[in-house]
Order: sequence, then structure tokens, then C-alpha cells
Amino acid sequence: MKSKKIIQLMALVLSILMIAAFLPACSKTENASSSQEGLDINYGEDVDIDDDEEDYDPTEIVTSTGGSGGNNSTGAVTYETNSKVEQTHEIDENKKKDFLESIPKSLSGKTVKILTWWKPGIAETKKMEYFTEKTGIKIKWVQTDLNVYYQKLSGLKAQKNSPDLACILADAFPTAIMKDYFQPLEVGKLDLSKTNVFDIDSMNKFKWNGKHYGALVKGSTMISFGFMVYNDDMFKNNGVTSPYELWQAGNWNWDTLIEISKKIKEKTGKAALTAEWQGFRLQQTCGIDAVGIKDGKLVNNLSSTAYRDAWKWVNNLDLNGTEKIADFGLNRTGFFEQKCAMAVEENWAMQKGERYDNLKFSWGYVPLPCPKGSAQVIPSDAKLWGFPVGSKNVEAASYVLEYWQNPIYDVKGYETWTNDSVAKFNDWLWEQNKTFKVAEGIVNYGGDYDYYTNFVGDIALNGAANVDTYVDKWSKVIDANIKKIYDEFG
Amino acid sequence: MKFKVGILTTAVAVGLSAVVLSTTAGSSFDATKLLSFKQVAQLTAAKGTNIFEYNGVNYNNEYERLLAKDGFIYGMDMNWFGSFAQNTVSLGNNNLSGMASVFDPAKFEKDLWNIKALGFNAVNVWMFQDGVGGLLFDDEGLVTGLDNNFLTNTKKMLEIARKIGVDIVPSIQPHGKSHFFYQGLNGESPNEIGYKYLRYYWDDEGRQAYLNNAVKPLCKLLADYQDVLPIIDLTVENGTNMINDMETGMFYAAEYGSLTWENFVSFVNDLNAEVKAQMPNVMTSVEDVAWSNNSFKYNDVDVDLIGRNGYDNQGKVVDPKELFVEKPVYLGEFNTFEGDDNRSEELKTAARLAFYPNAVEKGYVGGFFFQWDRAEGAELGMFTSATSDNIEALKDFAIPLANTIRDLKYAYNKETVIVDKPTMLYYSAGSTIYFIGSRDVESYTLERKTNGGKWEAVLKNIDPDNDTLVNGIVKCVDTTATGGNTYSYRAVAYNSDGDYSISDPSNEEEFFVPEEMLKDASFEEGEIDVGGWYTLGSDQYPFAAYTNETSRTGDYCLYVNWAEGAGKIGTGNAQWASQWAKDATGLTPGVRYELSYWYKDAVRGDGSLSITVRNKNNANLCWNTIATTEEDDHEWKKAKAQFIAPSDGEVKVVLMGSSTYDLSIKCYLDDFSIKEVR
Repeated sequence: MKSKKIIQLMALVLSILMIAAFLPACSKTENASSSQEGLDINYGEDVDIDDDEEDYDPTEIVTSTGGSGGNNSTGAVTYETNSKVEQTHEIDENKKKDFLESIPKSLSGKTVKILTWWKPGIAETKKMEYFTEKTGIKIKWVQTDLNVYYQKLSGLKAQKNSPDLACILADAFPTAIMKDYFQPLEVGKLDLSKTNVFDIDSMNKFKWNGKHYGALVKGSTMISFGFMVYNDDMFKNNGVTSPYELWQAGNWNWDTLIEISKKIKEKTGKAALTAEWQGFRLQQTCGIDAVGIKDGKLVNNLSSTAYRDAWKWVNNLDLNGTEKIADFGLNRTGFFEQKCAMAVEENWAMQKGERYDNLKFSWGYVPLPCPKGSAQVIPSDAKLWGFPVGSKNVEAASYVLEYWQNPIYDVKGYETWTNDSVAKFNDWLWEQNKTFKVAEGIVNYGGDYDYYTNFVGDIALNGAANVDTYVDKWSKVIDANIKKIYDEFG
Repeated sequence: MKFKVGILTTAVAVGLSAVVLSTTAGSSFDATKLLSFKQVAQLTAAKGTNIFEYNGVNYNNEYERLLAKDGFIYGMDMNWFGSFAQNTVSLGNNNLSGMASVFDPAKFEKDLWNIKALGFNAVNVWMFQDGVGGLLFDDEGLVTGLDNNFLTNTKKMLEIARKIGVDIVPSIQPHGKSHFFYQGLNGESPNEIGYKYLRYYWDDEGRQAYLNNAVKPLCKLLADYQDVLPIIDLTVENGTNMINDMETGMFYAAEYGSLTWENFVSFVNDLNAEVKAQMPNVMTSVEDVAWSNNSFKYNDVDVDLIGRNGYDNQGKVVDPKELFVEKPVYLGEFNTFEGDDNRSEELKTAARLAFYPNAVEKGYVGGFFFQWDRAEGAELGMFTSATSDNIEALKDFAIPLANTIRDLKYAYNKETVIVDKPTMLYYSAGSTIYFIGSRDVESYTLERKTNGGKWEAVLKNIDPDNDTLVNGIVKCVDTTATGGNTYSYRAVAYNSDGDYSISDPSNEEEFFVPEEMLKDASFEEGEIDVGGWYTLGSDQYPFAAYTNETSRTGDYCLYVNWAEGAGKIGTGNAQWASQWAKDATGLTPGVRYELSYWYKDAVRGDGSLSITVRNKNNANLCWNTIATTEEDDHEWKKAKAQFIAPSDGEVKVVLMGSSTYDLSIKCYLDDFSIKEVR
């Protein structure tokens, strides 16, 4: 048993590293030259990157293998027709033209440096080449590894070569701001009154000392959303109500997840559910992260009963728990290999050229279920983009940021998402209430990236009966680190 | 203040800096080509210029010349060589423990070059380690002379310092007895060693023997190198643990050591007299171990300067005025709190960068960062590793600290600098060249001089953003360098307005072509056990075989096929299984080598082929899996990992299949290699 836990923890570590490394890193890469090519595959929905937008038929998503939509837990949204998605982010050539023409000609010739942890893919490159062609503003990608991202930023700042745009990652808030790596957004020319572009509600949650330091552009990949994918064939073939059907019916919650999982397990003999990060995203559906921000201050939430109960629920889903429906060691690969019916997924994997372009089975997706009777929340990680201290081209960077991240300015044929249905689901996710992960940067503060992995591992891998013990242990770490942060940079 | 900058009337030499420093950019170290202090003095006396001349002004000593030049002693504590805990730390042998000195002139030269490149102008080195290192004793514990190794190494050290152009601050008497970790060769306990051999602290007979047989010959040697000796420090931290005087409040809670303040003062005064007898112009100091309330007591000790420790997590230094001291003060050591790893690196960096500006503002004359490299632990050193052999391991604060020194020197010299002058780091004779870049620049050009010819550009448009390591060092690879040629390099930095600045040249070295240490590792024998590969341990789950289906070079390569579920034991997950190995011998101990190999068509899930280099005890020296690729050769890709050769120079490459789940790995491998890297 212990060895399995160790291996699960290793898998968790690997998963975290892979997630971190690939998050936007694999985004917008050249389309679908999958390693599955040439195999005997029952392909999912074809993605024809040359298709005109008019060819898109939203009704396909219900009957095809390409995904699904549905109501949220309140039953308010009929997703297929987008009737309740307030804002979609389809490519809009007119808006693109208007935006590019609004950029001051005086900025032509400026170079905007963007510090990334991935090599820009062809879609990103083409999009920004077009931007340069129309505005004269050049883009310079400065690439480093994720695990040394802030070392690189610090080094560039020290050499007076600061980039003009850099990211405040989930594990670096608020310390990246406190360490004087970023300037308030007000130094730039972002028009934050454009609420159709910027997710101000989410940005407000990351205000520091009353100021915004990072922007979130709606429809972009810069929030990682947790949601559920499922093997539609497996549900249909076994006559079990699918998550989508439950969602449509407004009956998708923790309890119904367990009900259908038990049925699937009984019918197939397989685990019903898996997840990366040991089901971490499932815990977030309670709406509470280990660390919150209240009145601009970091707050330890580990005394919350709801938080602890969520982890106990997750522990009990495990094959070693009371419900015995989830094998968190299978991970995404296990789902792809049809070793389980459902997997907790993140939206980055749905980008074109990523993991879901070609699967062997029909699949769908729904938000993660929340506790019965509670409002829908979406587990989220924010990647806020802002202006580093020392940036020389903040004004130009402001226009670059908005253009770069807004999917309505994508280049046709190089859209962000694997298909239009997924794009709209992503739009829908952006409009929901979100539970942001803040704890990672606090747990890891002044120490090792593995600390957060250990934190999740301790609480997720030791059974419901031990959740309180481990939460109490880590609560002391969080208290100490919050104090340390304020002592050092407060 | 007794020691004012002035003109020395007994001028002795001319153009010392030109004579001595002309070797800076020369070929490899050759002590026979250098001139001693006296030789220089004799040769240049006729020209009527002072050996301590700077910018047309003659000074009394190197201390004054250095302060006139840079305004401050930007010091680096090297202190000891080797491992402190293992007592391999002295310039000389420890004749009580039997431990030999590990002083390495080549490493010292490289270190000193890089220390200078970072902006430091002096290094502190301890002489009689623990009060006994390098000394010879009789049966009564009386000093009878200096160990030959000590004299030779000290001379080499000073010659190298003169060659590189960095000053040395020798500390004659480091902590006495505070760091004895060993039994004496005759079975003496640490305390017995202390009471027997450190008697010169409190005993007249012992003192006289120490002064006559150790200090006097040392000073005779040092006297020839006064041009690189700004300060001779008499004690480090007062010979920690030696004073235990309730009257003065100066005491350590150690189980040994009971010197009175009176004993200590007389010891320092005697040391000072011996130094001044042979070098009347040289400045002397003691380190007071930061007894803040008692610093004023050193006003009455016969030294010129006081060194104080400055450990503070905000980089603050005490105002000397608050100490009521009447002598110039420098920071004998500074850093954030020793052993404190519970603070973020950013906070430590902020503190480390604050010390020098604060010390300059408060009127200190210098400060020594503790420390360059540290075999006992990397938390306080300049490197993330325990040693300085890999410049890429320089910590992130180092370049910002170098920039701080740059700015302080600019301010002192009232210079307005548009483009910082890049600074070449030590050229190790390989293809990789490192330099400290300039701030706010757009590009660099790397220029090379071949066999003493003209400067030629070998790399243009080096990107200060993408070609700079995360620690701020600029890294270039000259792929056109070839064996049989001697090279030196320099960098040119350009800003966006076209302004530029050219670095001084690097050291000049003959290009090093490394020998292949892993012989016949291309699988051309066609079968295992013929060409030196052998199975290691269990062969229960064979996973590799020679094949001629493909190869990168020759006819054969190795085909690895770790099947799904292979090695699975019972219902558990797969275990480490079969291993293949091949030996390599004759590696130079302590030298960095690189394992490389080529792979093709690697298909894997979470299964992995572990490829390691181990010592003969099967401990991993480096670990690699098919993961990193920096070079492509069509469909073949190259993976590599570096390691330090063990003391016996014997290693083995081990291939080992492993998978954590039911996953497989398939690939072809070819052309394994182990070569020294520079």
C-alpha cells in the first residue's frame, strides 16, 4: 500500500511538472500532427483548419464525438445554442481591423519583449507577425524554463533588460508583486473599462494593495479551468446516464457523480474516474482554496469545514475510500486508454494540436460537479500578465497584450481550441464563478516547488480519516509562510 | 586617522603596474617569468617611480594605492582551500593530523580571474589554519619552522595574485583551535592539541618560537609581494574561542580556551611588531568578531585597521562612530545570517546587495564577502554547488552584486558610463566562453584572437536576453575553435544607439581537445561481452540487444526494448531490472566530465531507460534519461549529463530499464562518450 502511495505521489509530481511545463507551452502549436497518425483509430470530429467559419454547425456537438454542452447545475444554460453564453470569442476580422488601427502610429518601430516559458507555436507566431505587419511593433520572445521563470525575470531586471510583458503565475502570487517584479497595470494603456475583453471580476480577486498588477483576457488560455471529460461510448453502451445528461437536467453534483460512477464500475469492472493532481480540482469545487485573499490580505482557510469535507470526499472517491470509484493513478493516459469512464481535465489540453484532437472514442465534457445545492464554481488557476519593473515599452506592451491573448484576433485556420464547441465551452467557463488556487505560491514560498506537491499528496493520499491531521500540519506551514512573506516584503 | 594618502619620498620603482600586470593577458602561468617585489624595485628604482603608483600619484603602500584607485576594498573571502571539516584547508600540510594541503594553483588562478571579473579587488586567505596548519612543531609543542608545502604554495598564491591583478589579504592567525575536528597523530584529543601546540598565545617560550620560526619566515616571503598586500590581517575573529575574559566581557562559552584579554593583546602586538619589522609600510589589522560594545578596546592594540563581521538579513552595517573606534574599519566578513536557509533567496539577495553601499556610506574602507566557494555547504558561498569549478553554478545574486560594485566604482571615479564594459570570465580552453555582460544593451559580438593574431568576430548578434543564463552570465559557444590553436576572446557590447564597449581580453589558452575516456562504445563488436559492455546484476529482464538495423556511426547500435509490464513483480509495479555497464578508467579526479550518447526513435510513456555514471561503489555521479536534446543529427538526437570524476578516476556507465507502470520504452542508442569538459 505504501509503495503505491509513493508511486502515486511520484505520478502526482510528474503530473504537476507536466502540467506546469505544458500549460500554455503546448498551446497553439502546429495542428495535429499526432503520434496516433497511422494507427487504426476511430477519429473524433475532424478538425479542418481551412474550413470557413460558416461551415461550423453547432448542432454537431451533440451527436458527434467532439464534445457536448449543457446546462449548469441551475439548469439555466442551453449550451448548444449559446443562448446563455453572454460573450463568445470567435474570430472577428472587423474588430481585429479596428483594434489594430487604434494603435498609435508613434509606437511603430518599438520592440515588445515577452518573457515566456514555452516556445511560441505557429499560431502564436503567425498572429504576432500579422500584428507587426499592421502596427510596426516588433515582438521579441524571450524564452526560459518554467522552474527558473522568476530567476530569469530577476536577472533581466538586474541587467536593465526587463521584458515588457511577463506572467504572474499561480505559484508566484502575491510574492512576485511584493518582490518588486511588477508594476501596477495603471502604468500602461490597458483600457480596463472594456469588460468584454478583461475579466475584471477575476482580476479584482488578485488586486494587491488596491491595485491591479496582472490582466486576464477573456477567452484566452490564461486561466486553467478544471472540468470533467467522459467517455460517451462507455456510458451509452452500458446504459448509464451520462454526466452531460445530468448536467442538462440540472442534477449534476457530488452525489450524482458517485451514483453514475458506481453504475459504470459495476457494468464495466473498471474504475469510473481518474484525475491528474490526485483529484485536486475536485476539491476546489467546494469553492474554497487553502489560502484566500480577503481585503487584500492573505488568509489561511484551512480551518474551513467545507474545505476539509471536500478533501474527505475526494479521499473517499478513491479505491481505498468508502466509495471506491476513482483510480487517481490512471491519469489522463488511463482515460485515453479507456481504463476509466471519466477524467478531471483542464482546458489547456483542449487546445488545437493538444491531447483531444483525435481520440478512439466519443467523448464529452461537463463542468466538475459541486456539492449538492451549492452554486456552480469552476476550479481555476490564473496566469496574470503584467508589466515588469524596468519595462521600456509599457504602452506598446499594452496593445500587444490585448491583441495577443484575445482569441477574437486569432488568425483563421490557427484558432486556439480544438473545435468551436470547445471554444464555446471555454467561453462559458470564463463566465462562471471561479475558485482560484492561491495556496501554491504560499506553501512553496521560500522553499521548494515540491512543497505544494507534498501538501496535496499528504492530504489526498492518506485517507479521509487522516485529512484533519494533515490539514492541521500544513496549516502551520501556511501560517508561518504568510507571516514570513509579510515579514520579508510586507 | 594615522594613515593618510600621500607621496612616498623614498620612491623605489617605476611602472610596476605596467611591468607586473602585462602578464594578465599572457599565456599560462609561469612563475619564472615574473619578477619579485625586490627585483621590480631594483629594476625600476632608476626611473624614480613608486611601486605603489596610481594615476601619476605615489602612495605609501598598496592599501593606499588600492583605495585611491577604487575607493574601497571590494573583498572576497576565500579563506581556506578544500574542505574545512576535513582539515584539508591550509596552504600547508597539517602536521598534527597528517592531512595534506589541497591547494590547487590552477584552480586558484581560475578562481582569482573570475573573482576579479566580478569586480572584487582583494581576497582574504588564511595562513596558519587553526593556528597549526603549515607549522612544524617539536615534542614540546614549540614551533620549529614552516612546512615546505606551505612556503611553496604561499609563494605560488602570491605570484598568481600578482599575475591576475588581485590583491591578497593574508590572515596570519585564523581561529585558534576553534575548528579542531581531529585526533592528533599521536592520539592527542583536540583539547590536548590546543593546550600543547597553541601555547604561543600565553607562554613566552612558545611565543618566541612561533615568532622566530613561523612569523618571521612568513613575513620574509610576504615582503617580496607588498605590491599585492594591502593589509596583513593578524587574527581572524580574535582567534575565536581563545579569549575567555570576564573582566572585559569578551568570552566564548566554549569548553576550552581561557586567554585573558591581556594575553591576546600582547600576542597581537608581538605579531604586529614582527610584521612591521620587515614591512614597515604595510597595514595590519585584527578582526574583532563583532563584539560591538568592546570594539573601542582595539584602539589600544598595535594594529592599523579593525575588521568587523557584518551579518545582517537586511545588509545593515554599524556606524563606526557608534563603536568609538579610532582606526579605519572594514567588514572582515559579511553575508546574510550564517546557516539561515529559512529566508527567500530574494531577501538574501537584497541584503547582500545592500552591504557594500551601506558600508561605503558609513565610511568603511572595505568589506569581504563570505565566501567564494564552500565545500561544507553551499548556503553561504557564491555557487549553488559546493565548489567553483562550474561557473554556470554561480548564484543569481552574483551578477547583481558585480553591478553594484560597478556602480560604486563609477560613483567613486565620477564616471558617466554609457555602456558597461563586459568582463570576460576565465577561458577554460574549450568551446564554451562566458562573460559578464553589460546592462541595457541590445547585442554582443564575440571576438577571437588566434595564435596572437588580429581580433576577428566569431559570433555576432549575441542576444542579451536569450543568450544569458538565468544567473546573468552570457554564454557563447565557438564551434569553429580547433585543436592546435591558441585562443583568447573578448566581447563587444552594443546598445540600441550604437554605443559600444569592448571587454579586456580573456586569458589566452591552447584549445583543449579532450580524450575519449569511454573506449569502443559504439557497439561495433556486434554482441555484448566482447567490446567491454557487460551485464550488471540480474539479467532477468533482458531489454537490449545489438542490432545492425540502423546506426548513427558504423554498422551497429543498441536496440532497447523495454516491454510493457517487463520487470513487473507480482501485482506491484515494475521494478528496476536488468543493467548493462561499461567501465571507463584514467579520469582525472575532481575534474568535470560529460557523458553523452545518441538516441533515435525513442517511444515511451512513463517508462524510462535510466542511463547513469557511477563510481565503483555504484553511487550515481550523474543521472540521465532520454530527455534532453541540444543537438540533432537528422533522426538521431544527443543527450548529455555532466559529473565530477571520483578520486580513483574509475567510473562505469550503466544502462538500466525501469518503468513505474505498464508502460514501455523502445529506442536505438549509439556512440556513448565520456570526455572532459571545459
